[in-house]
Amino acid sequence: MATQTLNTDIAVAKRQRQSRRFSPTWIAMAIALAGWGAMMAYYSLAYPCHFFWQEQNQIFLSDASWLSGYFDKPGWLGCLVGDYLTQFYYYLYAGPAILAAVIVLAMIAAWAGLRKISEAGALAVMVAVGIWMFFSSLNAYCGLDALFCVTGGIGSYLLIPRLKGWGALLLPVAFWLFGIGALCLCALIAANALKENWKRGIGIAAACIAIALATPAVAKSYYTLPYDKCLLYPKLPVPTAPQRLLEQNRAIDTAYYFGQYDRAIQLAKQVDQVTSVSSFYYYLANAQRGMLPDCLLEYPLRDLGTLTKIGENTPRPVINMMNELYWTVGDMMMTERAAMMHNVFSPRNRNVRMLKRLAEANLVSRDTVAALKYLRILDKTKVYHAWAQEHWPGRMTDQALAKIESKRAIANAQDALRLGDNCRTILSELLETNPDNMVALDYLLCTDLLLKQMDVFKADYDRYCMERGKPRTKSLYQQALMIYLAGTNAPAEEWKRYVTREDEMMRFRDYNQQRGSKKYADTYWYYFDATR
Amino acid sequence: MYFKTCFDDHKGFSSKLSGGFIGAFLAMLAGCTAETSRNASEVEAMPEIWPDYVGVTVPRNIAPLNFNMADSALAMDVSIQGADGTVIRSQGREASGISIRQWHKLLDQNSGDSVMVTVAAKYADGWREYRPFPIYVSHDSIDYGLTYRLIAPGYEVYSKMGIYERNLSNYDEKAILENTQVDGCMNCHAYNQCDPDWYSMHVRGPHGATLLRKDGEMAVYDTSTDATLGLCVYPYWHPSGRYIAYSTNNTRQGFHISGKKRLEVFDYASDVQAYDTETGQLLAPAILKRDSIWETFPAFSPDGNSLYFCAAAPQEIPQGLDQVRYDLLRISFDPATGRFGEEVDTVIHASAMGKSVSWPKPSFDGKHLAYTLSEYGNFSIWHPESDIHILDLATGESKPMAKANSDDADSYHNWSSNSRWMVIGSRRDDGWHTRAYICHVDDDGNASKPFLLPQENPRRYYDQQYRSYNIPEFVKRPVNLDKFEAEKLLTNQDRIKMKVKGSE
Repeated sequence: MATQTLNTDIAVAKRQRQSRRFSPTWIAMAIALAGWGAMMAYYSLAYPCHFFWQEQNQIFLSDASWLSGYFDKPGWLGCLVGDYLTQFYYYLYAGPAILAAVIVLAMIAAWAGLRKISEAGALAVMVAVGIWMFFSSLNAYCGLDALFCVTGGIGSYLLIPRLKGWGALLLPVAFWLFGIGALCLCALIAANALKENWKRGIGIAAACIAIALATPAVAKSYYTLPYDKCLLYPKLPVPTAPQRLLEQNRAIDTAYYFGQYDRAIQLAKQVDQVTSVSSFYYYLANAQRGMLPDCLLEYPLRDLGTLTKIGENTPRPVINMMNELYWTVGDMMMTERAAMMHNVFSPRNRNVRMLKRLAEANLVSRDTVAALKYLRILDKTKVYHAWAQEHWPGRMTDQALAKIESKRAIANAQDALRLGDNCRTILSELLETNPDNMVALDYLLCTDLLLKQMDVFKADYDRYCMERGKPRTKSLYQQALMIYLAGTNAPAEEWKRYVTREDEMMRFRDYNQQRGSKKYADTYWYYFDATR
Repeated sequence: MYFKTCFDDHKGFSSKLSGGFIGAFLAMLAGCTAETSRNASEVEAMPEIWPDYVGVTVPRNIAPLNFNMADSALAMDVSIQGADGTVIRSQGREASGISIRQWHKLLDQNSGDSVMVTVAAKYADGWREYRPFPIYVSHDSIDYGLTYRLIAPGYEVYSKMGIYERNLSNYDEKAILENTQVDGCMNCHAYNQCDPDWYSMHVRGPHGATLLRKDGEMAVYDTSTDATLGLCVYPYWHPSGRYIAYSTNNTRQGFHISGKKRLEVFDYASDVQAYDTETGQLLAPAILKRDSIWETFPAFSPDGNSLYFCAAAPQEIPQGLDQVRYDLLRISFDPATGRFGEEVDTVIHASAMGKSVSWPKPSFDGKHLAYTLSEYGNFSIWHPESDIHILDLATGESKPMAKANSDDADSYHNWSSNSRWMVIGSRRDDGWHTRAYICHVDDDGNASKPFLLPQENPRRYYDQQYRSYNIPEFVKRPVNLDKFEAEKLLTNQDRIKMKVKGSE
C-alpha cells in the first residue's frame, strides 16, 4: 500500500516537474532571453551606428546642478537613467546590450504584471510590448529616455500590486518619475481591476484614466509644456521599419568621424541608394587626400555640400555635414556657427560632438577662454574626460597640438563681415589667407565646374594657381581648361601655357572625333556635353 | 558635495548653546565634519576668487555671494565678519557654501557698513589663509527679482529658450514662459518701471504676437501695419501705463570671419512710434519715421513728457556699417493728447565723437540716463569696446561708469525701481556669453564695482550655463504670468490689430 502511494507521489511529482518545465514562467523567461539575444545580435550587426549617433547627439554630466535640471520636466527618473545609459553607447556593443536589456526588462515587467489575469494573455502582451519597443527603438528620434520611461512605468506596477485599484492614486508619482510611463501603469492597473471585478473595475479604470489624463493637465503649467507634449513626455515611442539607408549613411559619417577615410569612401560606394550624405562624405574623404578632382565625376550624385545653406529648418544631419565641411576647409567662424546650430537643435540643447568641435574651433582661433568653457563641460563626462584633458590649453598633447596647429595654418587671418553662408565667398576668403589650402582650392574649382561656370573657373584657376606659379594639372582641370580655351578661340601660346599634359591633349583630340561617346564618360568634356 | 556649514561667533561656543539645542547640535555636527584651517600659513595677498567679489557693494537683501577659488584649491574655508564682530563661517570643496539665512542676518546687521571676508584655501601642502577683503553692504535694498531671457549666443536660431524670473534674495529661478509651451522666439520684454503687472513681450515664429499685460489684464496684438516697417520691438512703457514706445526695425546679422568680434546685428531701416493702449492706435508722427534717419531704442522720460531715442544717418550695408553712428535725441511728448513735439533735440552728439549710442535708459528718479557707447552700430553687446556711460540730466554732463565697465562688452542695462541699482549685460567673463552683473549707483551717478548674479556654486553653474542672459530687467514682485492664459492667447490665432492713427 505504502509502495503504491509512494509510486503515485513520484508520478505526480514527475508530472509537476514536466509541467513546470513548460510553465508560462519558463516560456516567458525563454522569450525574454531569446529576445535579448536576437535584439542584441540585430542591433550589433545591422544597426551599430544608430547607437553612436544617439550618443553623439546628447551629453550627460555627472554633476549635481546638471542632474537637477531633469526635475524641470516630467519623467525625470526615466530621462535621467536613459540619458545616463546612452552615454555608454559610445562603446561598441554596449549600446545594443543596454537597449536590448531595457526592452527585455519592459517585457518581463509586462508579463509579471499581467500574469495573474491570464498567463497566456500576459505572454501575448509581453511579446507585443517587445515588438512595439523594438521597432520604436529603430526610430531615429526615439531615444533611450522614452523607452526607459515606458519600462519604468510598466515596472512600477510590480511595486504596488497590493494597492490594487488604490494604485491609481500613485499615477501622479509615476508621471513625475516616468512621464509617458504613467500611461502604461494606468493600463496595467485598469486591466487588473477589470479582471478582478468587472463592475467595480469599470469605476477604477475610469478613475485611473481620469487621473492619468488630469495629471499632465495640472502639471503642464509647471513644466511649461503644452498638454499633448506633457502627457507623452519625453516622447511617444513610434514603431518604424528598420531605416537601413539611414544606418548606411550613419556608418559613413561614423567612419569619417574616426578618420577612417578609406572606409568612408568604401561605404559610400556600397550604399543601396546614393544620397546627398553618401555623396558628401565620399567627396570630403577624397578631398582630404587631395583626390577631389580625380573622383568628382566618379560618384553618381555630385553633391559637394558647397551649395548647401543652413538655417533653422535644416535637418541636423545636414548641419552636421556642413560643420565637417567648414572644419575641413578651415573656416572656424562657420564651423562655430554650424556647431552652435546643431547644439541648440539637439535634445536638451547639447550635443557632445559639437561641444568637442566648439572647443577645437576656439582652440584654433586662440580663444582660450571660450575653449575652456567647452572643455570644462566635456571634462565632466565619463567618455570625453580624457579627450578634454588632452586638449587642455597649456598641457595639450603633441598629437592634439599638431591637429590644432594644422588647422591654424589654413584658418582665416583677415577679418571681414560676412552676411551669409555663400560657400564661394567662404572658400575665396580662405584662399586669400592661405593659397596653399588645397582642400579649399579643390572645392572652389570643382564647384565652379559642377555649375559649368567656365569663366568663373578660369578666373579662379588664374588667381589661385597660375598667378602663384603653381598650376594644378589634375586631369579634370586640364580638361576644363581645354573647354574654356576652345570656347574662347584662345591662341596657341595660351594653350601651351595652360595645357601641359600631352596625354590629355591627345585624348581631347580623340574626344572631338567621337563627341558624346560613353568611352569618355569619365571626362569633364563628356559631363559638360551630356548635361548641357 | 559641500562640507557642512557651521555657525560661529566671537562670543564663543557657550553662547551657541544658549541659541538652542538644535543650533548647538548642528554646530557640533559641523565641528565634527569640517576640516580645520587653524594652522594655515598666512598669505599677504588677497585671494584669487571667482567671481571677483572683492570690494563689491551689495544690497542687504541679495542672495549669498558664493564664490570659488580661481586656482585648483582642494577646499576652502570662509569666515565673514560683520562690524559688530559677528562671524559666519562655511567650508566647501568647490564653493564657499554660505548659508542663506545666516548671510541675510549678517547683512541686515551691517547695512550701511561692510563685512570682511577671510578665505583660507587648502592645497596639497596645507592650508593658506589670505588677506581679508571687504564687501560693502548698502542701505539701499534691491527689487524682489530679475527677469531675463536665456538664449544660446547665436541670435539667429533658437531651440529651447524662455523668459525666466530669479529671486534675488536666494537662488530660485522659474520660467515665466518657455517656448516648449508656445513655439516661437520670446523676444523683447519690458515692464513699466519694474512693475510686472504692466508687461510687454514680443513672440516671433508660428505664434508670433505681442503679448501685453496692462494692470494685470492680458491681450495679444498683431503690431505690423501697412504704414509701418514691421513688427513693434524694443518696448518702453510710459510711466502712466497708457503708452508704450516701440521701434520697428528691419534687422539682419552678419559674421566676422576672424578677430575678437564674432557677430554684427544691424538695421537696414528703423522707425519709432508709440502705442496708445486706450485708443488702440499707433502714434507714428512723420518726424519719427524719416527715411533719411534710422530711429530706434525709444525710452520715455520718467516724467512722461519726453521721449529719448537713438538716431543715425543711413549708410550702405555692409560696406558702411562701421560708419553707422547713433546720436541720442529727445522729443517732447504730451501724454494728455498723445502728441509729439515738432522738434528734436540732440542730447548726445556721439557721431561727432566717432561713437555710437544705444540703449538709453533714464533712471526712474529722473536724475540720470544710462546708455551704451560703442564705436559704431547699435547692437553693442557684440562690440567688445562697448561701455556703459551715464548722463546727469540736470547738468548735461556725461561720463563712463568706469567701475562698472570692463575690457569686454558691457551693454544692455536696466535700473532697479529705486534707481539705486543697475543690471548690466556683460561679456567680461568669456567674451561669448552675456551674464548679469549688478552695480550700485549713487546720487552722483557713480557706480560701484559690479558683482555677478550670485549662484550657489558659481563656477559649476556658469560653466554649464550655455545660454546668455538677455535683456535683464528688475521686477518689484513675482511676475505671476498666467501661463495657461498666455498659451491660450498666443496659440489662438486671434490678434488685436494695431492701427496707425489717421490711417483708419
